[in-house]
This record gives sequence, structure tokens and C-alpha cells, in this order.
Amino acid sequence: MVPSPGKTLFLSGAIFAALHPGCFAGETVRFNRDVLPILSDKCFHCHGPDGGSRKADLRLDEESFLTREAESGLALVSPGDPEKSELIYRITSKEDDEVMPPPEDAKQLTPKEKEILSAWVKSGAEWEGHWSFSPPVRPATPDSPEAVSPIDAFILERLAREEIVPAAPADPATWLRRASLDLTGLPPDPDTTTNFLADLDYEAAVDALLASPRYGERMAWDWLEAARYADTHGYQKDNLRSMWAWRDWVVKAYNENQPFDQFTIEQLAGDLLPSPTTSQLVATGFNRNHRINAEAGAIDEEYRTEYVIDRVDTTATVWMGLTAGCSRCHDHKFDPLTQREFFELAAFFNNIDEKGADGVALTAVPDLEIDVPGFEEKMAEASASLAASEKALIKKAEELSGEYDQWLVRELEILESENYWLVTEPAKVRGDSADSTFTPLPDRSFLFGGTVPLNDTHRLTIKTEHPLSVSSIRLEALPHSDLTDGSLSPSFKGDFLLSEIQLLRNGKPVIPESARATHESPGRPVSDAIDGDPLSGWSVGGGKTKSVSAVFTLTEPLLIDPADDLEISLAYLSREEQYFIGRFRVSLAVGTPVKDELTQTLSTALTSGSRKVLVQEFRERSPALAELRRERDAARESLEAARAASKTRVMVMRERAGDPRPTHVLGRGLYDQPGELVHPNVPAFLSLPLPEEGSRNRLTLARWLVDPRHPLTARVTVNRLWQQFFGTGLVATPEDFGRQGEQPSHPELLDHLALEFIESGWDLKALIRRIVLSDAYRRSSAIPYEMIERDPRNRLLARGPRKRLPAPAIRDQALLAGGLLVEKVGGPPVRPEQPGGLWEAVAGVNGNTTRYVADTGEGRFRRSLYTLWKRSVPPPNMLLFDSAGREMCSVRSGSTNTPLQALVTLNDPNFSMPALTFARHSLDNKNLDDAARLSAMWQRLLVGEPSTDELKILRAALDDHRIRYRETPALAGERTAPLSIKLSQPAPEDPVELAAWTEIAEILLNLDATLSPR
Amino acid sequence: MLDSTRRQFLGQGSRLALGSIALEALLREGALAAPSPQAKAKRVIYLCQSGAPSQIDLFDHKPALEKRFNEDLPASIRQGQRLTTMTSGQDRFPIAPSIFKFSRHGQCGATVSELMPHLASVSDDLCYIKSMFTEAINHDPAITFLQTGAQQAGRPSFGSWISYGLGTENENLPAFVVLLSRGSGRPNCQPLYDRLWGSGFLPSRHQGVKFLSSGDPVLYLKNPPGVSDAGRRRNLDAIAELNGSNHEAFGDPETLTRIAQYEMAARMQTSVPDAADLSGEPQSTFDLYGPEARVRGSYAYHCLLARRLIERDVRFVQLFHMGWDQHNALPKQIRGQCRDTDQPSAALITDLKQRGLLDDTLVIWGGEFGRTVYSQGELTADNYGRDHHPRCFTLWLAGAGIKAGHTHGATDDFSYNITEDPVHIHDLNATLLHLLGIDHERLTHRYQGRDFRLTDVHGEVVRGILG
Repeated sequence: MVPSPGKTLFLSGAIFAALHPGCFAGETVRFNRDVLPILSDKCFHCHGPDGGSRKADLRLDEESFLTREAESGLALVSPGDPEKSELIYRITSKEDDEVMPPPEDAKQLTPKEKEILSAWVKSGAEWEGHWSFSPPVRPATPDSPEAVSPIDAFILERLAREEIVPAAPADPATWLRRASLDLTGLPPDPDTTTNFLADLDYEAAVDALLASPRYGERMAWDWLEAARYADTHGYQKDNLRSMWAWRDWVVKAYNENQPFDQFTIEQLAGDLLPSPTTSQLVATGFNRNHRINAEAGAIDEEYRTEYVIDRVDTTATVWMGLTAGCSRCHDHKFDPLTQREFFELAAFFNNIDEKGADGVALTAVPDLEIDVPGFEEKMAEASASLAASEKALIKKAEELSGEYDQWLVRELEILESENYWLVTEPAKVRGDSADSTFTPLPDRSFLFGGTVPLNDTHRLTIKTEHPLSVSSIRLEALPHSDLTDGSLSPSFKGDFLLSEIQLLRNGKPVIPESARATHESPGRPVSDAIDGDPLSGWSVGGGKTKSVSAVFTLTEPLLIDPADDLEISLAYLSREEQYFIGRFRVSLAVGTPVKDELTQTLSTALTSGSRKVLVQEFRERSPALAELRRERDAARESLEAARAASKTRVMVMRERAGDPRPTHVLGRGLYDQPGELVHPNVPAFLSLPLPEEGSRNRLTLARWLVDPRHPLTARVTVNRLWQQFFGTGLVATPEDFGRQGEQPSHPELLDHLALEFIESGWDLKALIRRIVLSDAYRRSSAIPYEMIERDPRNRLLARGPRKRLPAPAIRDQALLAGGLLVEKVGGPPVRPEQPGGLWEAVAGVNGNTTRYVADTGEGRFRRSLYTLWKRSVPPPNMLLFDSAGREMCSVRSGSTNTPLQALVTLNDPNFSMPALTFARHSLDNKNLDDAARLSAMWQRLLVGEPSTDELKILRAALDDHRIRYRETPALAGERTAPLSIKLSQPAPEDPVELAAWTEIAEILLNLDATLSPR
Repeated sequence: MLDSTRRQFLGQGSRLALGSIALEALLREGALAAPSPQAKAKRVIYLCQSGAPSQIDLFDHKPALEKRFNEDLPASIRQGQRLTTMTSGQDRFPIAPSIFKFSRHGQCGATVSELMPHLASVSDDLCYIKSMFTEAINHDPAITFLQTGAQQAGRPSFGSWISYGLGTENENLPAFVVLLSRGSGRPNCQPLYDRLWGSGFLPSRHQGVKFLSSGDPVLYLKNPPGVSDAGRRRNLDAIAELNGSNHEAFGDPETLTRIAQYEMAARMQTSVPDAADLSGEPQSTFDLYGPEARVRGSYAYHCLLARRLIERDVRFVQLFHMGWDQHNALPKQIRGQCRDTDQPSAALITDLKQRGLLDDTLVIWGGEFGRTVYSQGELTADNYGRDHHPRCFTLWLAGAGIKAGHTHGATDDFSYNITEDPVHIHDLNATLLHLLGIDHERLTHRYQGRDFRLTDVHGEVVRGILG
């Protein structure tokens, strides 16, 4: 059988109800709920909204077909009389050339579907529009003596009709853990638990959870998945991007309970508000979170078009539950959205001042630099500390007048010896490739950077202040942290290949006669760098992290005059790619030097006797001042770090100046096939036209989306929240409210909630509060035996929700239990531990995410919301637990159950370390016996009390582990070693005992009840 | 379907029956109740050559080009077709004939270049398609298209469709394994992305499982330090017992699935290292695959590992070998790539054949597009580069249901446009699914209201390559 989760099986009333939640046994056929889904799925492909593929000029998605006459003379539909209806004749015909759908069609009607269509015609063939395309109408709240809230009234009414008795309330501890994890992504703190269990004040508990900063972090996760937020650009190069300021905006907006209409307007069009605040500009990052390409050879317009289309898809999915993407290439097959209307929507997003292939730097235009709060003090401190250390250095240098004199004498001796290395300070360094950059470093070396080309020639222009006799050139290759693995080169292997080195005096080449080097790789001797063949050259092998050097000796000393132009060129022209020396320093041999060195600055000052420069040089070079220099350098680094951290960039939406960019319908959705010119507009079938007056821009669109008369926005939003708390939405397809989407299980409840939401001023916390305080949410999640068959997915809500935690909550609750969680809201992404080699295995072209280096400090233990999300290799412990990949909008929460998940929670250090510290904390209280200690651990994680049986199982395991670890104390040592090695905590007094308790922690962290709250 | 199977199982009211039944349900969760009896292939090895190998230098021999060295590519051939921005600005498009020698091989007389002597020797087992074409012109969209049937991210990969459709035949190993290797021809290569083996909108259990080249062969496979097998076993027993009592109290079928999955995880901890342990392979194996097969993470090692996984009934083994993107210095770079892949690819065919596995295993070798006949950058007597070329490329297939010793399709004298039997990526995928006993129009998954297919709304089975 072909998999088709949406397929309808009318096997029995019970299953019918389960799969078609809007219906219950014994009710008559209704067009909207029962007939339209069949027509949509089986017929619309040829007889639906898409004019391009429509057959026989017949469309079944509009009421007009009811009055149409077929060629046979029969009415297409004769209300009350299936036998006289061409529609029924055709679907039941045995003739291959008559029957519909045609026999070769993959989608055939089932006998039950034929019955439904027939029953509908028989019952009078009443027409209804698709439910979600007209605005919600306030339903009467059913009278229900038991119901404490309207939510429950609707649910109980349905259960009563089905003759199902709802489950009893869950015990308070179970409810508290459920609510806490759903609202904050973390279990409750022990104090919260104690207080709640003492007073059982549910409302106060919910209010406290909603007021916690953890609430915004929890809510942000789903929004980030919908907004396809990531910390890299995606596509081929997948470089880092800076969008975390937008992520923090989201957390803040949720925590401050920004009304959802405002939340919408600021994200879609904050830049178009009158005098927008920085915060409102940052909010528009929502529509810059899409992937941005940087592949060499990519065509700008092709990708710019993709971004515009991504914005339409995302906006339509998130706010309207519409699968607009289907209309990119042709009219929608199922919903009345035309291709033209798709591009009218695209026109709202098509006037951004952006480029196509722009995903190299941290941000692509348009972007914004903003202040990061909280750095003023740090900056002031760092500034003061730098000033103080500079002052100390100057003072000390002045005090060391004796040393200065000695130093000066020594340097003069070197100068006069006429045998020294003159470390060059080139007037100019450039590459033949225009994008190459060279950063001078204090030791007179240069760091090569920029867009690293495959081949290049680097040229140093040197001017001398007085005549020099040069006998040889020394080239040093030095390591740097910006180079591959801290090596000598930016190439993939960290090796370089110097094709040729040349000295040019006034443009005339002087080829060195001989060469020697400290290192050479086999077959690539340094002599190949002076052989005139650009393909051969000098290499030292990859992975070197200590400097190497080569000396190139001239045939005879070369006299260089201040008037001469001296150029040294380093050519990298072999067939190895990017085999450059990444950081180099060039010195000229004056005379026949051995070891002594002078820089050009120093040699000039010594000659001219400039005391100011000499004192400076003394400060920078004297060994006696090394310690103070180190302090000064460290202070300078801190200031630079603070300064860098005090600002961040973020991508935003900004309209182009001048006339708007024209938008065309694109043939087959392709950028290079522009057709008809269109203007911004909204789809007609929603029957909510834009005002005729005024301009039409994103702000118009945003306001239209949150117009209280909009049929979709409030329903779709309420439904997504319902999904967050019950695991499944009232509409099980939150991404599709169209005709192919599922029918709502409780249509009146959905409309009730949507209208309440709008009337409350789009108050999210108020809505959530009502959901979480409902009886439906409070019920026990135990599944009575007969309900497994009757309602396996709990669509009728006779029992409480039971769902596996989302990925971040699984990791975060482990960190919390282990006392490791660092709770700090916001900031740049962090890099917790992940298995080695994952980024490296797929890395290719030079990018800045080819190697993963884990944080060593608090970054290891922040909430998973802050983990750096690299699109091409997302964090595996998130992806394995069904997180969205963040390459495109995702609003449906998945939940699979796989062996690889078990391996994560058993073996990933993100879980085994918390297990260890969870155990260690549990041993803090020396007065507990085993049973009490086990019970305390259970309560910390699972909130309730373990049963006697559960305690017994744990005690037996504990005893066995004690025995085993006592027999093999070395294993206990290994098991507990991360405490001191990785966490710098004191080693345990009794490793055997700690190891045994660590096993208990591992058991608890892996329980089904831990992963799927009861 | 899983739900209903679980329901039936629970109807029997026995927790003890768990092992076989729940797991069976789980493994078969997909979709097709059983593979079609017409299925020729049970398993797939996909040797993806990432970066796009040059068809002109490997298989698509154009001897007449030698006389046209450095002539401009006639406009009548280029027909104004779009180029990448890496060469669209070039002043001219000078023809670069391959510098490699071609000869005919086997009874079928296939033309193969001197770069692939081992592969040439098994030509009678291969079916070359010289008329492959695709839509994208850059790597990211093109390899995404090859692997998922769409240029933009978000669709399930081929292997995940197969896992979804056919399930697994080995409950101790993943159904879909991914092996990544790096070419010696061009270390500075095209990167890969998790989406190429991702499950898109299919349940995430169908995503490919990477066998890694360093550390644990599968993510998180090894116990933390200090945890012995016996100690872990003790914990698994305790977890199962506690989960059992949780199930008794709450009755959630998912709890039973979790118990089964923890057991499978434990079995994987043995079965994965066992599959990856080559120490029992005789010297003759390494003679066949070459000495590189001893080097973990190499393409040769992965070819051998693929055979071992296939022997253990892994459904889909996907190799990616990086480094085929030869924009400049093609002769040097492609030599390295061929040195990496020629012998092991041929060895895999020979080995599978010797073991009788080639009869029901499908082997595919190819990249995301072809390369241009004109030189990118400088053209000299012994050096040239080639840009991306989506309009034609060569791919070969072998094994189950494939017409062996056959060449399908042809290109013009410039290996620029297809002249005979064009095969689109969707056609290829339709054919591969057909060989696996699946009608590509019927393997669907509903997402966003639409029944998605690997082949979108396209694809024709290529009858001409069926045996």
C-alpha cells in the first residue's frame, strides 16, 4: 500500500473518528468536512483551481459545478438523486473510458469515498465553502455543569456525544512538571515544587512560570524553527552569520508578552513604521533568516529570487497555514491561490536592497550595527587597565636608564658591524588578486587574508633610507591562529608551495643563486623556488605550527640606494590550491649576518639618533621590559575583545531607494522566465481586500494579516500553540489550513479561541494561561486500554497530553538536574561539546565553519537555544530528536523514537557529564539513606514520588553497581574522572560510591517518563 | 500504519511479545507493506562522485576534438545556454580536447579512458548512460537535486525514501548508511551537507546514519569511559523494568517502542563495530580493493565497508567521494581522483559478483553534472580546467536488473548537447525505484497537503537500460 498519512479509512465509527476528528459516528455527511477533502485529494488535480491542468473545463472547487449539465444531458449533480447525477455515474462506472478518476491515475476513490459522495448527493448536495477561508464566527459555548472554562465545555460536549468519560486529573506533581516543561522547557525548581504542593494554587504556579525568563527561551525555540533561524548562511559555503540579536529580540518579545499583532507587524515591517526604533528594525531580521548563497559561479538574480520566494512561503505558512509554495510554478492544485497571486505576494518582498550571492561575511546587506547592552562597564575597566599598564611600561623604561644605555651601545655595535639581518618594514604589500589583504603584525610579519584565491603572487615594496649592500634574503613563514589549524598556511592541508621568489630592483629581476631552508618536504626542495618553473616550488609539509625559514643568497651583493625601487615577489602559481605562506616576514642580509637583527625603524633611528624612536624601540624590544609588555598587550587584547563584543551586526529588511523593483510572474517559477508584471496584493479568495487608498507595502501586508477580520491568522496561531501543549493541533496540519489540510477536531473551540485571542488584544500569555489551566490539560495521561484503539492520537482529548520533549528540553533538563546549566539570557551562539570531525568530514572550500572547536567555559552548559546552529551540519543531538533543520520554515513538531536517540542520552558527554554531577549533588546531604536519596533524585527530575516498585528496581541496580565498582575500582575512577578533568571540580572522596550513583543518574535520565513527561 | 500495528499488538495484551512484533512494526513503518515481487534489487550502493567528474576525460570519448585544440566552441553548439559566473565573463571558450587516451574494453567495447583501467576491465558488467542531464548549474542545488529530486533544501533524500518505503532487513544496523571520503585530487573541494542524506519531511528515523572516519563509527556509539558492557547491561535492564512499570501505569504504546529502541541501540553497539572491523578480511580482499582499503575513511575502505554492510542486509549504502570539481589543473587533479576511486569501484563490482550479491544489489556511480568541453582559464598542451556543465554527463550503473555491457544515449561531437536518449535525474530515479520494485508515482508522502514524490511530477522509467 502506498503511504499516505492523510488517507481516509472508514472502517468503523471509532477509527473514522480517530482519523477524521471533526466527525463522529452516526452523523450525516457534510460537504465541508466529508466531501470536499475527497474532491480535493482525488479530483482537483484535473478539476480544481489550476487552470493550466484543468480537464474538460470542469472545476469542482466552485459552487457553480452543482448546476452544470454534462454532455450526456444529465445534470452533473441532481440533488437528492444520485442515479441522475453524472458525477456519481462517472465515479461508479465500470467503463475504462468513462470512469473517474481515470484507471491509470495513481489516486483512486475508495468504495467508502464513493459512498460518501453518493450519500451527499442523496442528502441534497448542499455546498459550503472551505471552513478556514471565511472568518471565525463566535460559537455558543455549550452548557456544561462540569466545565470550569469554555475550553472544557467544548471538549466535554464532544466527549459526551461520543459517550467517553474523560480521565481524572493528573496528580498535582505530574501536572506541575508537565506545565513547567511546556512553559519553560525545564522542570520546576525544588522550591517551586514545594510551594505548589503545599498550596496547590494552580493559577499562581502558571503565573510564576509565565513570568520566568525561561518562558521566552522556551517559546523562542518553536519560533526559531518557523523562522528558519541559524547561525550560518547555509548553502554550499555555509559561513558564519550574525543574527543572534534577532533571536534575542524574540526571547524578549515573548517575555514582555508583546501582543501578537505587534509581534507580527514589527517582524514583517518594523522598518516601515514611522520613526522605527532599533528594536523594531532588528525585528525585521525575521525575513532575513533565510539561507544566503555564496557559491562561486552562482548567478545573483537566481538566488535573490529564491530569497523572495522563501519569504512568501514562510510568511504564508507561519501566519496563514497556506502552502503558497505550490503556486510558485502554476496555480495551486487544491486551494484557490493562483500563480499570479503568489507573485503579487512576492511583490511585497521584492524591493529589498539586497544581493543574491552574498553569504560570505557575517551579514549580507541590508544590515545594521547595534550596541550590545552591558559592555559599558567592561570597556571602561579595560580602557583604564590598558592606560595603567602603558603608563607602567613607560615609567619602568624611564627608570631603566642604565639598561637603555647598554642596549643602545649594543644596537649601535650591530649597526656598525655591518653584518646583520635587516627586518624589512615594507612600504606596501599587495597581491595580484585584488581581494587579498595583508595585516601588519607587531613583529613586522604580515598576515595574509581576504577572499583567498587559488593562486596569487604577493609583492612587497621596500624603501631604504640609506644605501645597503644586500647579500641574501631571508623568508620566514610563521604560524597564526587564523590559518588552518594554527599552521603556516590557509590551504586545506596547512602546507604552502612557494613557486618562485624574486628580487626586483627598479623592475629588473635578480634571481638568487642558491637557497637553503630549515625544512623541506620530499620532492619539493627550496631550490625549486628559484628554478624559474612556476609549477615546482618549496613546501614544508602540512600541519607545521612552528616557524620555518629559508635563505636565498644572491650571486653577488646587491647595492641598493634610497632612490631604488626594491620589490620582493613571492609567487604561488603551482597546481596546488591556496598553498600560500599565510604569515611571512622578510629580512635582508646586510653583510654576512649570523644572528643579529635590526628592524628598518631601529636602523634608521640609530643612524639619525632620534631619541624618541630609540626610547620607543627600547620599550618594545628590551628583554628587561618583557613582563610589562605582556601585561600591556593583554590589557590591549581585553579592550579590543570588549570593544568587539559591545557591537554586533544583524541583517534587517530595508526597501530600495527609488522606484520599486518590478515583480513579474515567473514562468515555472524560474528567475530567468519573467512574464506578466504584477503589483503587491493579497489573495482574493480570503475575501479581505486591501484598502484601495494608499501605498501597498509590507506594512500594509502585516496589518492585513492581523486585521481582526482575517480568517486565518488567529486560528493558525492559536492552533500552533495548542500543538505546543497537546502535541497535536486542533488542526493536525498546522502548516496547511487549506483543503488538503486536516479538518479541525473541535472547530467551534478553535474559533472560540481565535476570537478570544483577538479580543484580548492578541495576548499570548493570557491564551496560554487558559490552555494550561484547563481541565483538558490537567487530566491524567494514562491511556485506558480501550482508548488505545478508540482514539490513539488523543484527538478527542479525553486524557491529558503525553508527548516526547522537544530536543532542547531533553538536554537542558539533564544539565539542570546535574546543576551544570548556566542560565544567562541571550548573546552570541555557543559551542558545547560535539563528537569530533563532524564539520571537518563535509568541509571543502575555504570557509569559516570547516572545523568545530568546542567552548571550554560556560558555553558548554548554556541552554540549547544558544547552541550554534550550522545549517549544513546541525548539532546532532538536536537533529536526532527531530529538531527542524532550519533550512526552511517548519511549524510541525515531529517526534520519532529511534535507537540513535538512546545512544545520545546514554553516551553523549552532554548527558554523561550531567549524570555524573547529578549523582555528586545527590551525595551532598550525608544524612540520607539510599531510599531517601533515590527518592530525592527521582523528585528532582520527575517531580513526583517513585512507587515502591520503582524504588526497589533502583535499589537493586544501585547495589549491583556498588558491587561491580568495588571489584573494579579502576572503572569507578574512569567513570568519575571527568569531574576533575573536564569540570575542574574536586575529585570524589569515594569514587566507587559516586560511580554507582552516576549509574542511577544515567538510568533516571534515560527513563521514558523523563523523556516523555507523564 | 505503525499505530494500527501497535494497536493490534497491544490487543494481544502481552508485553512479552514486544521484541519481535513491535520491532517488526517499527522497521516496516514505511510504507509499502512488502517489497514488490517484481523487485530486481533489494539493496543499493550509491557511489556519488561529488564535485562532478569530467565525462570528456573519463568516458565520453570525442576523438575529433583533437584537431580543434584551442578553437572557439562554435556558437551553434553553445546556443546561448547559460553559464556559471565563473566563465560567463571569459573572452573566448577554447576547446580543450582530453589529453587522456581512450580505448575499447570488454566484449561490449565500451570506450573508457586510461584513467580508469580497473573500471574498464569490468565494463561488461556496467551500463553507461552518456546522456544524463540535470537542471542546476552550481554544486549546491545540483547535488541536492541529484540526491533529493529538488534543487532547494527540504525534500527527503533517495536513501531516506528507500528506508521509508522498504524498511530495513537488519534490525541491528541502520537501513541507510552514509560514508564520506575526501579526494586526493582536490583537497580544497566542494563541501557536503547533512541534507543530502536527510529525511526532509519524512520521519527523522529515515535519515541516513553517517559511519564516521574518526572516533566512534556511529555517533555516540561508545559507552562513556568507565562504563563496562556488563554495567551498561545492568542499566538497560533497570531502564526496561522501570519503563515497563511506566507502561503498566500509563499504557502508552510509545513506551514499548522506546524499550525496543534501547535494545536495538545496545545491539548496534556490537553490530556496528563488527561490520566496520576489517581485521578478518583476507589479504586477497586488500589485493582486490588496493592497499588504501586498510585506511579508515578512504574511498577504498568505504567500498569494502559497503560490501560488508550489504552482506549484512543494510538497505542503502551511500558513498560520497569529494574532490571532482576540476576548474583548473584538471589533468593533475583528476589523476588523483581516479587513483582514489578506479580500483576500489571496480573491486566492489567484482567482489559483489563473486559473492552472488550483484544479482540483487544496484550500484550507481556518478556526480551531480558534467564539465564543459571548453577550458576554464588558461589552455596549454598539458593543462586545462573545465567549468560546470549540466547539459550532459556520464553515469554508470551495475547489478540487479541493469543491462550489463551496454551504453545508453549519446552526445554531440563536443560532448555539449545530448543527441540520443536523454535521461533526466527524475528518469534515473524513477528507474532506480522501479528496479527496487517501487512505482515512483506511488511512493508518496503527504506534506503540506501534497503527496510528494522523489520524482516530483516527472520521471519516466528508462526501459533501455533494463536487463
